[in-house]
Amino acid sequence: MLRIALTRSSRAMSIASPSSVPDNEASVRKIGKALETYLKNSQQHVAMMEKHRAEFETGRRHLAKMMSLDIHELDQEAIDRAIQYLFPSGLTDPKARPVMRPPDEVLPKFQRFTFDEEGKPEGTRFFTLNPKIYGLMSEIGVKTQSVMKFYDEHVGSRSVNKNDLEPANLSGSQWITADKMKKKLSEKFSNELYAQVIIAFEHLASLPGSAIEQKFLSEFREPMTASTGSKLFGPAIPEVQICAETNRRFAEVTTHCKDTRATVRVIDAGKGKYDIDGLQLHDFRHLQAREILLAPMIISQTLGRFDVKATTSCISNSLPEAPNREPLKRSGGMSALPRAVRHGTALCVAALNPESTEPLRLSGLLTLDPRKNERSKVNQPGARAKWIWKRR
Amino acid sequence: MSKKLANFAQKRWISSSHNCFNMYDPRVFREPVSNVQELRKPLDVDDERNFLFLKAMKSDATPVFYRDSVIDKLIRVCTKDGEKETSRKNVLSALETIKRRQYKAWAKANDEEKKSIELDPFVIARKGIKNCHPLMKLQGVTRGGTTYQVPFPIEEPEAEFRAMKMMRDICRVRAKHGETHFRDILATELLAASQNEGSTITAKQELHKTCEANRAYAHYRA
Repeated sequence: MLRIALTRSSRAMSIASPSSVPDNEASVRKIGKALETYLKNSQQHVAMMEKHRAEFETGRRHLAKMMSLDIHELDQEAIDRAIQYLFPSGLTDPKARPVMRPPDEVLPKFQRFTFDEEGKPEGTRFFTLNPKIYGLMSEIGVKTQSVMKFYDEHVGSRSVNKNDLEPANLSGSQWITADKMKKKLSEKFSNELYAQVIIAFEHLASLPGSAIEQKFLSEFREPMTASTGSKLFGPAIPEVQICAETNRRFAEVTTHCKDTRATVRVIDAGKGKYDIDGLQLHDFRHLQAREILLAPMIISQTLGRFDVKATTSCISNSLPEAPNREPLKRSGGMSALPRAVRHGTALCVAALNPESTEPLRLSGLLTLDPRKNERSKVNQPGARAKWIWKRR
Repeated sequence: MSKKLANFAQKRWISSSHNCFNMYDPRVFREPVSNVQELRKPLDVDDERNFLFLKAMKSDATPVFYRDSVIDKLIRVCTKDGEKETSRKNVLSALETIKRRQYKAWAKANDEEKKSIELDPFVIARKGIKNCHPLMKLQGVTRGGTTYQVPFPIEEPEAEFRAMKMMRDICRVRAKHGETHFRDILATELLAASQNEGSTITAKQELHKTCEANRAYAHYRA
């Protein structure tokens, strides 16, 4: 379209030859100011890119000569290494360091637009600062109207598939981040505009009947696994190892609960024995403690199969205290030790018995408990308790 | 509670630090599954828990065969100063006392009555607490300087809690002087409540009467 416009405009701008048009004055046609500016910028951009490409090429040759490399060996990785060697930078921000890249990657891109015969831009968004994102918002608006119309016309009718009248199913995914959207639309925009787009998307997705626009919506969704990663909150399931002396499989992991740190080793082909800091299961006198320690075996249905060996320590005992103060009474508490050992045991059981991983995960045994003791605040006796309130 | 604290902090210029909020981000965490049978079933492909984290299992929720959620809640409600083990001993002793009393009655009864006597203390305790569930609660609403006691509707979990709290307070008052232990008084109360008798049932009926009397204030509900 541009080439046609160029040729047309060049034809229009140039004085026509006597053979094509009889009248000289009528041949000079005025084009729109928008098109004129656009063409000028386009030509400038093209010229600039040409110049920079030529400069980059000569730069590459000089660099190859400097580094005594063959020009064909000098790929982008080699250029990066050479620049790092020649211009060592102590700047912490990687984007601030010197870089030598092909101008297509580094220099700002030029937005291509189409123009009609009279030189007017096709689509009014030419005059906006962010045409692509405003275009996306318009598209969402149009689709919202059409979804509402579709629902109003087809609700209650038998001719339409019932699934189409549901809101779009967006479970397991989340809206793409602002950075990803900028890359997708190849345009920079403010966070406020991004927020507006998300609001518009959320409204469209909530409408009944938006299932017909499922495809359009999923283009702007990414799966949630991207954010939750390995689906485990806390330490990952450890690798299975084999003990050299006894030739039994085992797994070992270090976890914590509140201030208690525990290193747990679960050994296969055992009798269900516990050895926690030298204590056995019956040494834990609270019923709840024993229940907690046995929980992973109950869930994975492996009672009596594994031996558990654990060593624990309460880190608050090793924290430095202010010299003139009484030592703070911080400790793991009654259930923290069993809970730390339970978490380690569950992770090791999941390693040694992979078919029980999903039941252990769903029961919450593979999750590290993030809760910690809440700090006590000034002017209060504790974390939440307040002094007795007097009206006067 | 966190909202109240945030408000308070804003007015009093005390820092509302990260600890005020839920350590489990509600956007990314879901409740764990407690039923052993349900754990064995594979999840639906579309289920959001395939992509989200699950909260850690609670200390008193290990799925042993004798797990009873109502009794666990009663133990928690009767806990004092964080001593859950003492509370557990008390409540389980109360259940044992109920069993002994019921067995005595069963042994004495003739064949017809034997069928109607319930021996399982867990069943009796659940029935007793269910009978104590209030249908409405009274909440103070301040209008123009006066605080009116306005009847509000109540949800099942809150009704259960209020029933347990009523029972616990009555038992504590009676056990204060030390002659009778908390566990024996609790056993008596639970047995009586399962027959719709006893102080807790009376207290619940008093509450209902007050709610009925304050019916006129119901329009103060926001």
